[in-house]
Amino acid sequence: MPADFLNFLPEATTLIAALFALVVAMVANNGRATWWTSLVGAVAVVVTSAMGLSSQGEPFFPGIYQVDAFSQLMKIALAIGLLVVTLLASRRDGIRQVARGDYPVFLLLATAGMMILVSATEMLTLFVALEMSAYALYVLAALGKRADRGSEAAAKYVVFGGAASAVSLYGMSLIYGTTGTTYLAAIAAAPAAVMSSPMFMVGLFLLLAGLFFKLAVFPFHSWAPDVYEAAPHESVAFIATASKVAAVGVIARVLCLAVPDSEVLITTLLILCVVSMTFGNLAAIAQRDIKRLLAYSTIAHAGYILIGLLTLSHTGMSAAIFYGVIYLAMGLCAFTVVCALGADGAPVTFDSLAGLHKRSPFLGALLLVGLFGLAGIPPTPGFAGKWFLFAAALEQGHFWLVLIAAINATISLYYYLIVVKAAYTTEAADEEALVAPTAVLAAGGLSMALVVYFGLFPGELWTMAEAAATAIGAR
Amino acid sequence: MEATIGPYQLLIGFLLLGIVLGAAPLIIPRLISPRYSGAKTDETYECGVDTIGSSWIRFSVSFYLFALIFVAFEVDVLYLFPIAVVYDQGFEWRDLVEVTMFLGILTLGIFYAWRRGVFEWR
Repeated sequence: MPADFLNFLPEATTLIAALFALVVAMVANNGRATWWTSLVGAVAVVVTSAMGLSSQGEPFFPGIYQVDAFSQLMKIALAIGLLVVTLLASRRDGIRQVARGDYPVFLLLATAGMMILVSATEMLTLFVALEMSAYALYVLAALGKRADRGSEAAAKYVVFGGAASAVSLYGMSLIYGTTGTTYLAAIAAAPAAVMSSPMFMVGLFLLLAGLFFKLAVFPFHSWAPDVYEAAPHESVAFIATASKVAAVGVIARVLCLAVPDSEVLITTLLILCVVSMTFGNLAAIAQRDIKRLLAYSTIAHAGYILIGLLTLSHTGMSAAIFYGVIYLAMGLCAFTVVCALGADGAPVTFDSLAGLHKRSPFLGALLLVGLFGLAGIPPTPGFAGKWFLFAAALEQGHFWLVLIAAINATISLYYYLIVVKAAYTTEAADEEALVAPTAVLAAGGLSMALVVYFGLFPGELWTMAEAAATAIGAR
Repeated sequence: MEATIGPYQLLIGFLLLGIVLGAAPLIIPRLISPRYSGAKTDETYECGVDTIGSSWIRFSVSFYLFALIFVAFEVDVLYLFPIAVVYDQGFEWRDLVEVTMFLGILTLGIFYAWRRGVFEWR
């Protein structure tokens, strides 16, 4: 029992840190005190997740909660996302005055929900974890300085999110109706006739639709640009990175249930993937607001990740997991720059980027690293990630898909380079140095270090991603 | 010729059932509700007691927070019943610790609301 409980240490640390931060928020009602508490908590979460990287087991009732190579890799990624966003949130000027004390509590609670989500192997546990993280994210989206914009962001997020939850719950009920169980392992062991029945397939599609909402895949993406634009920068940094990793994790787990030769499933995912990539990249070109641009780039990246997922193969799942983790690091680089530029929660446009390389050489370099990574230019992990994804798709004979994805990667290069051009070639009206708070610089340094490290040495992460794919039973 | 229910028919049947269950509460009242109107019909709240004033009055927002907290804790208390049922089937320290943790977190919620002034009737 004690050894089993130690497997739950990262989640327990997150929850305890959240409660502790809540007590501090309650007693001190002071943004600074809560932030320091949550920073200590976030560091503790990273440490416990790193310690638990190789732990395995089932801390609770059998079949409900799986601690394995997959969940632990996802948890360390989520923990790092939490730490970086907590550092970004040190600058409280974009957050509404009354909520400054509570803000870090919701960050910790959302992380706890996501950590439970990536370990859940039973549909109700999965749903509860999904909602636990979702509610915290809805609140995070609402806490911006301007109440009207915050309400807009949160209302759109809640309405779409509620509908997505209802759809996935209906899907779960159909899956339960056909297989008679909510345990993922038992569902995967169901006879092939049940698995290929229309009822089961419709259930699986509805469940996936709810999860694709989280990942912002094409027909379920419409919330992303509006929420990204109106929510506070720090919240967006978290929604765009950590929640995507959690979504990749849970979708990978659910897809490993599917029968490998299900043509309908693969074709549907193929269409979603192609449309998502193309739509995301083309729409991003037209954006002037950097957060909206990154939102459309997220939709395109959801498409890239689907390339790996739709192969339903071991290499494909490993590639999707790998890409999810590096996407977190690259996205955090880009959003750190957004947070540093958007003082007082002001929107960040191309004009705010003018002369960035002179005003702050470090932030300029950070933007360069993040965007080159997202574009997939060779020394960055984005290149390795796309390479793995394309290789996995070619292995399964999806030549046209890889061709379309390669064309898309070229299109995306265009708008990433426009952003880089705005930061490097246009001159600012005033050449005043941009001084970012130390914690924001630390967040940038941490994410940049991760991107550079994974770019130069992708092998280690790839081995972990392969072990993770094996752990969820990818074939 | 024996009629069989195929997998698609079953699925469509469920979808239709879902639509019917959603639509029925909207359609049935239209068919069976009384059509006459009296002096009380247009009242804001028809409950047998005369309404005091119109519904367009301003009422304190603290009432809604209070109601929200009541609902949250009412639902949470439900989770204590299963524990109460099995609690005396052999005492285990783990059970006590778990119940204490559960109640502790709930209590924290009450303290939080208290501290934020939800219970002050303004």
